[in-house]
Amino acid sequence: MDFNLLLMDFNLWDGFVQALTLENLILAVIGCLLGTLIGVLPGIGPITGVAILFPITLNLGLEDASTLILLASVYYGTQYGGSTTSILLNVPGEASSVVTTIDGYQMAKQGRAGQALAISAIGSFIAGIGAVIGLMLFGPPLSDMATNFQSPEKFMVVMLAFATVSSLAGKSLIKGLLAVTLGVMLATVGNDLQTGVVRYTFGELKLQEGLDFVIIAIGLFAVSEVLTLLEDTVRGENVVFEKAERIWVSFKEFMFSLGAIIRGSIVGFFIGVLPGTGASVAGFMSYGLERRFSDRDGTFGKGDIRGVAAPESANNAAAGGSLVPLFTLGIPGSGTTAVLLGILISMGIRPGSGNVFEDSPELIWTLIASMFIGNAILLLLNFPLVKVFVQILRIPTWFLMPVILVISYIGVYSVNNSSLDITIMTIFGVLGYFMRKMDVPLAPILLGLILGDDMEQNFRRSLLADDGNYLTFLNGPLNIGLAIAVVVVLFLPQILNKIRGGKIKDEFADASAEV
Amino acid sequence: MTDMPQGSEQAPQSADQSDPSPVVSGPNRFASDRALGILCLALGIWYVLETRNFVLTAFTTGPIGPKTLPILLGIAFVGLALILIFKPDESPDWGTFAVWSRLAAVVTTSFLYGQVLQLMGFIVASTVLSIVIGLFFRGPIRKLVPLSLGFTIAVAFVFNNWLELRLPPGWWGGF
Repeated sequence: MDFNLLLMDFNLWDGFVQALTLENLILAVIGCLLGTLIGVLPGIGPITGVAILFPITLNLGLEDASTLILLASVYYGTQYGGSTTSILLNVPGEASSVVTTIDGYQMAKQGRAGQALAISAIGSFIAGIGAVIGLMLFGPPLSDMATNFQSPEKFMVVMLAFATVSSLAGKSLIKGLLAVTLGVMLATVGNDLQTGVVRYTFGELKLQEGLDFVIIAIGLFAVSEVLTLLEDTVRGENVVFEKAERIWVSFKEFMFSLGAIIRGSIVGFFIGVLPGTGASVAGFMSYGLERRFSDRDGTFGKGDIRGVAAPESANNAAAGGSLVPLFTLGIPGSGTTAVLLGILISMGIRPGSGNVFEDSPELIWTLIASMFIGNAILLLLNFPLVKVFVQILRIPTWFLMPVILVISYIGVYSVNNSSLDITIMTIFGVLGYFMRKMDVPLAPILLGLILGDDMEQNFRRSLLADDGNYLTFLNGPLNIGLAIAVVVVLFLPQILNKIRGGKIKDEFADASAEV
Repeated sequence: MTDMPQGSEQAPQSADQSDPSPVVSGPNRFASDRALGILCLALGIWYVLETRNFVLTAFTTGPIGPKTLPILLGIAFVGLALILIFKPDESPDWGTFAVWSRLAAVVTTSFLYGQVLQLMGFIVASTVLSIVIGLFFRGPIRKLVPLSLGFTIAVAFVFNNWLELRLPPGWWGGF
């Protein structure tokens, strides 16, 4: 482990100096505010938020680090905001807050919403800080290791990410695999990077550059969310508000929850680090573990504050943890980090191919410093502003949905000034809607699309180097280990699920349907 | 976040035993997944066959080229589609005509928006889109019209002046 972080050319201290410039500080506050708002809105998830905002930020003329600070602030802002509606409305703002509804809403019904919200914010803060420290400790050495990877290893790491995301995101393994394969198939559209051969473009010139992941992401997530909410509106589903009077916890309650927060943070961080598993899975896992660990009086599910503290800490820690494989191996742990990877690639930064901690130290350390700052901002914002954030739920759906659609369409239009992009986005919106209906997970498609090029390049390079011998992917202990991991990840959940009568998989599926 | 826990909990039992009296709905309860499977099957086959239309260049000699991965992907996709056809899950609740007509209308409006955006300009096209979508979400028209217009003008102002993002002006040269 690298304990000489402060001796590097550009280190965390410089990162803080950069992140604390007025411009970056303002961007972090704006990002946290926007993220919390997006998190509060049910149905509008972090992927949608980051994807919609990215094309717009391109037009701000910001430096790369500033753009990343803004979008990363949005990302962890959504993790804070998602819990608010879970607690007050029994409606999770994000998939990762689904489990918070169990004890959070019960607390709210007992008039303890304030305590639930406070412990959620404090737990998120501690977990967020812990995760960033974890990222600092594990990031540089893992990056060092990854720079030694050859093409076959890189290919196998991508396969592992595909396996985890297909296996855990959604109810059916087959549908997960279909989704990730479809994603890679979409990545083959356009000019082949090595030979320039045109593939699957239907003679459309604009498709030669390939499908833009932002357009696909906004279509799959934002447009399909609007369509799904339209269906709910027609069916007439309603929610009941609970009120939070004073948002605070006593020191006694805090100490009572501290164990749950620490356990949740550790579990969450390591689940987040696993490629392909996101914050939602972390929330469920930590809730299950915490219940087993500390539910001696059967209070979980009836408004136990630890049932809020554990998953809320876990999902934030996982959000931070998922940045470890993202920055080191170029493997996103979730749909949102997949979008972040797409953004990094479009900035010319390719984690996994090089060591980002050495190649782009300013960017990475500024971003990491901004995470400390962002978490502090979020904690400060949340206490006084929760009531204000909740007001956004009073904006009627009939106005909010058109607003989201218009902003999505204009964001997409602004990428290339092209109406074709709007059409492609709508097509993927419809596709996304049908997939949601049929329990086909969407995150694997995005992951396949973003990592597809990389996978193909490493696939071909490996085979060319070894005269077309497919056993090259099993050459050496690391590759064999990765192959075993792929098999275990794909089939272990299925086997465990059979043994335990289907319970785990359903919990995971509900949690990670929108990883 | 669908709200049908009862149906989904009972589904696996009846699926495994091919129970003649299904819990969810008639004998076609697997039809959705089968249809999806057939669609994927067709897509996979087309995807593989399409590789024959690739115009290869001088760089594409050797056993591993631009066709290799697509062919393997297509085969995998076809295999997965076949598994889905033979081991389908229960169909979802597809909803009523009221749902479908609204969804179709919203999608059509969105497609049209893409077509007319450049001609009509951002403000006109987006205001109309916003009003129409809002109506499908059961919004009151007297509030929708001013709110939509105000919103699009505000967006146009912010995008054009602060973000320096050129929105399509339309035939009348506004925005």
